[in-house]
Amino acid sequence: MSTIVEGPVAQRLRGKLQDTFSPKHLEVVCESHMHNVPKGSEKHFRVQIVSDKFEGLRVIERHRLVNQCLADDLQNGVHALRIDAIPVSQWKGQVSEPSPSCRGGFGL
Amino acid sequence: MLRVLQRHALSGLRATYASSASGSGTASSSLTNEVRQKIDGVVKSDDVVVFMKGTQQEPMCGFSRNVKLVLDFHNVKFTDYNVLTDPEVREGIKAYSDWPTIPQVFVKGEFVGGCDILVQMHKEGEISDFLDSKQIPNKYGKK
Repeated sequence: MSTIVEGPVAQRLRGKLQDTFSPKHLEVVCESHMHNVPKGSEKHFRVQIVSDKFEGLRVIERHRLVNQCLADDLQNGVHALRIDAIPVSQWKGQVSEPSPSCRGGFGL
Repeated sequence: MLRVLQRHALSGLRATYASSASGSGTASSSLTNEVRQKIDGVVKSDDVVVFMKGTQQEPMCGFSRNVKLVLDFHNVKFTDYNVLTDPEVREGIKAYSDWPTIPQVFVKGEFVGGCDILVQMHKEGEISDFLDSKQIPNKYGKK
């Protein structure tokens, strides 16, 4: 769909999510271009992930699983992570909502 | 009907899921007792407390702003804590709640989630029931 080449950070996140959740669907999108950071930065990500591992879990629990999976990255350079974690039984091909506009940030 | 109304309003907000984040690079595993007590004090200072970037009058981050917009939409009064003015709390809150990003919403002392979760609760209509269950006055609740 997209012809944009995935950066090394996005590839690393994708790899970890792939290994941990064996997702049926996985989207990892760098949104740093929408934020107040140098061009080419990989700091803001959006993840949409569909997996059996989320079945029966509350939203907060699904988010915690994703946060745990990417904990190292969140402590080392990844600044923002939008999560859309969906159990397979609730996957209907829904499209993630647009991300909020940056308000200036301040010290990423 | 309420849900339709909410969805409509939300599209106006251009809100998003998004737990959003603010990992400023340092490890969040260290949390001194002093900082923990400080955060405890803030968390318990009001029924609804939001740790955010900027203030509710002037959010400095789109994710923080979305949380404010959702709470405003439901007429929920809350106390804000601007983590940009307090590096200790900015890092400490992540360890405190075991959540890597900001904003963070607490209701009656309990961590509820970040921006993604608040927006999702709003979209699915469960936020009114949740606030009712915590006895927090809100626009579309039973009270």
